Formats: sequence, structure tokens, C-alpha cells
Amino acid sequence: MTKLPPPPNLPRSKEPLTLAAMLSIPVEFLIAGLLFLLLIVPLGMVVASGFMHEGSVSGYWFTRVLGNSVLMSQLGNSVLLAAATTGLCLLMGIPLAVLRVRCRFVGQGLLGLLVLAPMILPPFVGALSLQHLASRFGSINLLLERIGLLDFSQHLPPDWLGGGFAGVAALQALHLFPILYLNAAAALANVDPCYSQAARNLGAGPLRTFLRITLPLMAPGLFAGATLVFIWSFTDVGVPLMLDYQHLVPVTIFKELARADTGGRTFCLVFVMLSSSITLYALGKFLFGRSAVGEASKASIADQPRHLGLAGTLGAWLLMGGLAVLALAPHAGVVLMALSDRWVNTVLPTKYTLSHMAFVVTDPATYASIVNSLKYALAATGIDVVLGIAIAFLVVRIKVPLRGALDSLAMLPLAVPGLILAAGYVALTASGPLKSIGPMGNPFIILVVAYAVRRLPFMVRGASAGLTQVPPSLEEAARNLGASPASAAARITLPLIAANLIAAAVLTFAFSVLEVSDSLILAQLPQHYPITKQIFNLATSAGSPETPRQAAALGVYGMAMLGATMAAAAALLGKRLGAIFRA
Amino acid sequence: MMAAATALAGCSSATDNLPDDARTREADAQVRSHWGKGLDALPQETLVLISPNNRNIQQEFEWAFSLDQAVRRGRRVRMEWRDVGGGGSTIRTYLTNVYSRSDSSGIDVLWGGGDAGFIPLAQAGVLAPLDLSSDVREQIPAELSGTAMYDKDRRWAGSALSAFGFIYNAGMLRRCGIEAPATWQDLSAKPLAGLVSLADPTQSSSAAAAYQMIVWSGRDWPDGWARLLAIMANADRFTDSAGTAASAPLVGTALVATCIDFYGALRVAEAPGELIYVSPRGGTTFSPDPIAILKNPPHPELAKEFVDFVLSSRGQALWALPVGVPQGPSRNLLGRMPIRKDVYRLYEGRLMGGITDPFQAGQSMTLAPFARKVDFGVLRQLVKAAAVDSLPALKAARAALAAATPDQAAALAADFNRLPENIATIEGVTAVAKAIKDDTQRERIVTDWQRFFAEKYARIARASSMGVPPMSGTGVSPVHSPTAPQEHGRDAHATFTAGGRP
Repeated sequence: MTKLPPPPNLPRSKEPLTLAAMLSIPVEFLIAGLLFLLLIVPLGMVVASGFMHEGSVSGYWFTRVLGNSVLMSQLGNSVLLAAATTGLCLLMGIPLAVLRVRCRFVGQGLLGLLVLAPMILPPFVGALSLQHLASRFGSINLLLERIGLLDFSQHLPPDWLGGGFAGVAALQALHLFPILYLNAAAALANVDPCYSQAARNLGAGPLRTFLRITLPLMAPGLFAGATLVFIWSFTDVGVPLMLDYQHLVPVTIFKELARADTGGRTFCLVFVMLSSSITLYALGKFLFGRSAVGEASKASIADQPRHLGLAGTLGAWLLMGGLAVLALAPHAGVVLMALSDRWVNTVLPTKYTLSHMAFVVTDPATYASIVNSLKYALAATGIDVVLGIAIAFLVVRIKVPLRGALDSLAMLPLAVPGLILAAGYVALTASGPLKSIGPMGNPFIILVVAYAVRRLPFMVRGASAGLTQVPPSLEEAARNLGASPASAAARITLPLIAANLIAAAVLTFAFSVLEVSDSLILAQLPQHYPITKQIFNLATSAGSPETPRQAAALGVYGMAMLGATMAAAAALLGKRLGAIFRA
Repeated sequence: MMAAATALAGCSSATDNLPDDARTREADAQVRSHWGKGLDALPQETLVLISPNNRNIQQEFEWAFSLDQAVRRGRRVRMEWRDVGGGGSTIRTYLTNVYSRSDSSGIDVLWGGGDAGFIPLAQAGVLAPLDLSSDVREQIPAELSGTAMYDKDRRWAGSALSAFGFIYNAGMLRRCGIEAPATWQDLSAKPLAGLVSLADPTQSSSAAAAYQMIVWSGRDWPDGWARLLAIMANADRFTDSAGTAASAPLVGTALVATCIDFYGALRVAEAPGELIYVSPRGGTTFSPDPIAILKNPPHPELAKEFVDFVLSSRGQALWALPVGVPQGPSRNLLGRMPIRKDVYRLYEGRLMGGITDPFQAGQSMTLAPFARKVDFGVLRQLVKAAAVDSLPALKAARAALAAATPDQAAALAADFNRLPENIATIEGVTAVAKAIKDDTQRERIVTDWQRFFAEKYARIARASSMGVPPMSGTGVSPVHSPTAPQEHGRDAHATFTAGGRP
């Protein structure tokens, strides 16, 4: 990939760049200091506790954790789960991206939106209905029995959840594949078609061209998506807890943190988990993330999409439609659950009620959780937009000194499980002047900060990807014509990356509303519960068999709310909505 | 009318503000016929309570008691439920702290959470003596199979009973051609392999209590443990929440689940006939869920009225009658067992399914001498190490046992049932109970148990596949780690045989 030469009238003299970089250093330090305080200090407090034993610094718990076969087996299983989820996402995401970018067919817009819909459902609510649908005596098997494909008296029906592992991986993948799809589509759109055309001219077939030319060029984009998916799955507690799949390190950490007397072993386990996340990330980056796409210019011409014939269209419909149906089935199940009054031993409920939907708006605690979530997520998104743009400019455009460190710091939350960060905030606010903003006080600030810190990588990635793809030469041209650096950034660069920013902001908001682990730890008083905590609370509340359905009803409201968010984004962007998803 | 409804229901939430015309009209008419004025016009008094009981229980008793007071005493009762941000143990800590500094907590009544929490509070002098009427003392026995139903100094009295058993999906068991279980040991039957839903006892104390019943049903500690292990080998999975486990037969993830009685009763009400709850006859104790008046209550007279109401046959009927029937709860099933003997006679045939009369001869378990020494904490950790943390290996070992040749079976079963040496006897359990109170020691002991069970299960699976007995009763594994606890050799136990079913 050739770099554009510097504009002849404005050679890249060192002075203006150095000045901009120098002027930006205080901002860089301010942001880095903030991140250090909100991310490193709490983590440091948690991790340090893991290396304390009987009042002195010691590696006691570290050796105990590494020597514990159950914990090590859980760690291996967690890696396996994350790999399975990521593999499934790649399998689903790449073909969808090819269809999206390289093909045109009737109904493409609708199907393209449908396959994005799974992102709006908290997957751990899907887990509720998944048990009704896919468990051994769930709807799928009852249906198969009814049509004569299964005979329960001869053989016990299969457990489609595979003892939990398969269920968790499938549910996570069905929730996360749109992330990979979006990243893959963006990467594919930016691959200059001249390379594949050259390969085809030299006699390579379409598959060979895709595998040998296009896929490697997409690798950094795929790596970005796969990283998000892998770490999300590796550190997820919501889905495994709801499917009662316990053999995972995050679940063990979560349960031990929930105890009043959390000890050094738990914090040391946190350290092991963190180290594993960072090691796996570094390994992945080393193996897949080093291609030169970051330095590549945006494809100067778009590949001519291929108009599919009847067979191709049907195939595309089958793939996208089938995937959408599969991904939306748990969501439909949640709606059914929310409306069901009796659902025992039958494919569908035999009695329906609106009482669970009414419960959500009449039960003060449940209604309050919706209001709380909106407040928390909006505040967190606002913070992330500002920080995300600032960090991306500092790192990608202004190229401040130590930008690598700043970028790593901003990306670190990807490797930090939410519940661990939450434990850090609990430790920070356990005593002293911050106690009133701790979990037992009003946790608005720590919840917003936790959501914002955890989702900051989305925003930085979104903004950085946009900036990387917009050639600096456009800004330089503006400056050549007399615009100031700030004016060039505001009038040229920001509009060009607006689609990326809005996409990242929508994702940040959606994922903040769906945030599980921070919410479970940091909101301890019912009046401050966000939606997810209330759903979890209802779903696992012991007494009545009705409460999981009330949880499902709250999940339905959550889906509707996030659907409305997406629709609002679409209305705001009009025809450029597609650009978000291709970005 | 709305105002009357909110007045009667104490106006504690938006749910209570929902129009419920029939219920409110009827209540208002009753009050008018007695006092010549509506509910709104009655003088108001407040009662302050603290209780881990769920909202349904609070609301039903609040409505019924308020109506009773409005009609009989001509007063409106506003019930204030104090929330201290937690359940039974949080409330206990709170009250202990408050009374260590002050003579009164400003709270009248403490209700629910199990007798274990009330005994230390009574000893600490936090509870005021109750004046139990002769009618109450006649209908509530002082003891049931050795368990006190009220405090000997009358500091607390049982307000309901709790028992343990299992719920099963009778309809689906029929379709699968599997016999319905009737006793604890039936849960270890081979056809139920992978079909039993259990909860993690370190996460749920009611799950742990059910496992304690199963152990208590044995002849001695090793026999009781073997019975429990055989059932756990049939587990589909271990859930965190006892409610999720109990819902498994309803949702379809499993067909049987152990649970506390009222989780069972509430689920049975959803699909009577399809779902059945059983407290196995002679297989469970019945423990009281107490009520007490706190020391120096702000409203002593009203507090006594409330306790009397809860312990009356009218109040007790609320626990077990279906919704909407005369004297039953008005909106929510409660599904708990009344503690008064007469309620089972007075409402015979009308109580909801799954409610067993605990006073029938033979219904309650008679505890063997070893039972009280089975430490709850040790049992929880042991179940976690032996089953929750190693379920796939446990299931594989069970399958290996079932497939073992007759000459292998006895040795394999003996190995399967063998306990770690430090808890092989009930005296050992008592010693370990003290040790695990320390975090570091508990971690070491539990890690050793995990290794012990993992090695044992792997050994059984291997021995069975190779067709050789594991170790000829020497009690020493060929792969035994030097740091693992030495195994306790004992005779092959009949609980697990090669055939699987005891």
C-alpha cells in the first residue's frame, strides 16, 4: 500500500506537528491520569490483595491458585468457551460481511437489519427462554415428539444445551456475531479491490482469491472484532450464571466476590484471569493483528457489488434469514415467556396473561430500574464520546509522544472483567469520604464510571478506525487552503468519521444498558438497581415460579427500548445508517 | 374507594394502589356495617415490622390483618416494613447492633427467617416474652419429633412449618416410562440419571438443608453420605438458586428437584397433576419459622394483636388455602405449612396440593443420634468438592459403576462411597467443622477434598474400563498423591451397587 506523498505546497515540516503534539501533552496526561485513577488504581487495590497473606506480602495464594486443579480446569474451560464462541462468530460473521459488501440482492436491507437485531437483547435474558426452548424437555423436543421424530418412552430426548457449554457458546455467539459482522464488513469494504482483481486476472478462482488475498487483508479488522468477542466471552458471567453453567473462572470469581468475606484467593484468581486476558490478547495481536491495514488508505474505488440471481438470492435469504431466525428465537421465547401464565410440558404456553407486562410498570422497584438504566447509560455514553474522540485524535492524528501507552491504557478495559473492575470500585468506596457513592449509598457515579470505562474501547476503536480510514491528506488539503488544525478536524475529519462515532455511541449505549457484572456488584440497594440487576434478581429469585416471567417481561421492555434507540439512530442518520454498519 | 383500598393496604407500594374494586368494596361494606362509617374515617395506628418474608407474604397478611382490625377494633392499621438491606442474617446483625446501644429498636415485630436466627436473639435478650393463649398452646405442640415449636421461655413461637422434599414432573415421567419417586433413595434410581436438578449448597442454605435431610435418613454418617452421593450422581447440573432448581421440572431442564416445601407447593399450583411435590414420609423434619415481639416495642398492644392473628386458625389458613376462597389469600398463593394442628382438620380437602399434614403419625423424621453432629458447614463444603466442582467426573464414575462386572462391583462401590479420611467418622466431622472456620484452613481442606474426589472418580472410571477391581480394598490409590488425604477403608456399602439402584 503506497502512502500518499505530502502535499507539495505544505511539506510536512516538523514545527506545526510538534507544536500540536506539545500542546496536546497536558490533555494526554489529564486523560491518562483519569484512566489511571479509574482503572489502574482500583485494579491495583484488588490485585494487591491477592498477594497478601496473613498480613504480609506473599505469593501464597498465587501458588495455591496455580496448584488448584479445579480452578485450572475452569481456566482452561473458559479459554475453550471463548475460542468456541469466537469461532462461531467468525463462521457467521464473515459470510454475512461478504454478502453485505460484495453482493446485492432483493431484501438485503431488511435482512441486514434483522441480523443486527440480536445485539439489542441481553443474552442472559435469552438464556431464560433458551431453557424453555432447547432443554431436554423443552419446546424443540416436545415438537419433535409431536411430529413423531422422537419417542420419549424409547430414548431420553437430547439436551440441545449440551450440559450448558454448548448453550452458553451458542447464546454468546448469537449475541456477539453482529460485532464481528460489522468489523468484517468494514474491513472488507476497505480492502482495495485491485488486489483481488489482480489475483483473478492471474487465474485464481473466487474462493482462492478470497482465502489468499481478501481474508489476509481483512485480518486486522477481523482481529479487532474477534478480540472483542473473545474477551467478552472469556469474562462473561451473565450467560453462564443464567444457564447454570458453573465450570468457568469468572463464575467462581463472581460467586466468591458475592461473599461478605472475600479472601486473598479470590483476588489472586482475578490476577490470574487478568494476566490470561492480557496474554491472550497480546498473542492474538502478534499472530493476526500486525498487517499493514492501519497504514493503508481507504479504498479509492469500491468493488462493484455482484447482483445475485434467483438461486443466489434464495441462498442469501436462507443464510441470513436462517441466522436471523436462530438468533431471534431466544428473543421470541422471551416474549412468549413474558406473556405465559402456564407453560408446562407443552410446545407453547397453554395460558397467557398480561400481568407480567403490567408488573414491570406497576412494581415500583422494577419500573425504577428502567429509569435508572437510562440515566446511567446516557451519562456513560456522553463521557465515552468525549474521551473516545480525544484519545483517537491524540493517538492517530496528533501522534503525541507515548501514544502507544495511552492507546493501551484505553484498550485495557477489554481485558478487565467488569466484575473485577466493580470489585475495585467497591474497595475504593468501602470506607472514607467516598463511602456515600459506594454500592450501599447512591452508586450513580461509580456505575456510570464503570460503564464508561468498560465501554471506552468501543468508542476509541470506532473513532480510531474512522480516523485511520480517512486519509490525513484530506485534512492537510483543508489546511493547505488556510483552515486551522481545529477547523480542519471539525469541518473535514469529524463529519467523515461521524458514522463511526454514532455507531460506536449507539453500541456504547446499548452495551451499557445491557451491562451485567458491574450492575450486579455495584448496585446493592433496590432503588438504584439498573434493568439488568433487576432482571437477574427476578430471574433467580427463589420463591415464586412467576418471577422468571416477570424478568422476561422486563427483558421485553428492555428490547423495545433498545430497538427504539436503534430506530432513532436510523432516523437521525437517514440514508447514512448503512454507512454506520459498513464503517 | 381507592382511598379506602390504599388505607387498608397500608399504601406501601404502587401495586397496592391498583384498583381492586371487588376486594375493596367488600371490605368497605363490612366496616360500614360494623361501625357505620367507611374505612377512610377510621382512626389510624401503625405497626412496625422487620421480616425476610417475601412481599407476597407481607401483602397477604397485611391485608387480612388490617381488615380484621378494621372490622373488629374499628381502627385502620398502617404496617411499616423496615428494610435494612438484607435477609435473615442481615436483620439479625442489625438488631444485635441496635440493642447493644439502645433499649428499643423502634420495631415491634420480627417475623420469619428460620428458628436458627431466633435462638441467639432470644439468648441475647432482644425478644420480649409472648403471652400465648391456651388455644394457641393447645394447637401448637411444644415439640415435633424433638424440634421445639416455640421457645421454652416464650420469646418466640413458630408461625409456619418448613419441611424438605422433592418436586417432580409426573406427566413427563409417565411419558418417559419412568417410575415416580416416593422416597429420598428413589432419587438415586438409575433411570433418573441426569434428570435430577440440584442447587449448590454453598449458595443456597435451603438446598443444603435438604441434603442434610438425606444424610440424616441414613443409618449413620457414612451411610447417609453414600445416599446423598448416589443422588448427586444423578444430577443434571447444580444451580446457584434453589428456586431455579425447583423450577427445573416445570421448565423442562430436569424431571425431579429437591427443594423446600413451599417452593414445591407454589410450582405444583401452576400445573396440578402434571407437577407433584412430596415431603417423603418420615424423611424430613419439620422446623418452625418463628414470629416474635422485640424488646420494648413502640406499639405493644398492636404487636400482640398481630402475633395472635398470625397464630390464629384464621391467620394460619392464609398460608395454605388457594387464592380467592373464603379466608384464603386474596391475590397470591403462599403455599406454606400451617403450624396449628386444627387447621389441617378445619380446612381438610380445601388446602392446596403439596401441603402435607406434618402431625400425622410417621410423617416427621425421627433423628438418629449421629444426625445432630453432621455439621452444616462441613456438609456444604463436602458436597461442593465431591459433586458441584466435579460433576462430569462424578457422572462418569457413576456410569462406570453401572457398567462394572459383578466381580468389580463391590470394590468399585466401596471406593465410590469412601469418604476422605479426616471426615470418615462423625468425630472427624466435628473436628473439621472447627478447622474450616479459618479461611486458610478451609481452602486447604477443600482443595484436598477436590483432589481426593477427582482422583477417585478417575480411578473408578479407569478401573471399570480396564475390567479390573480398583485396589482390592487396600484404601490406597495407585495414583495417590502424597499430599492428598489418606482414604478411609471400610466395607463396601450397599447404597451404590453395580446395578445403580439401591
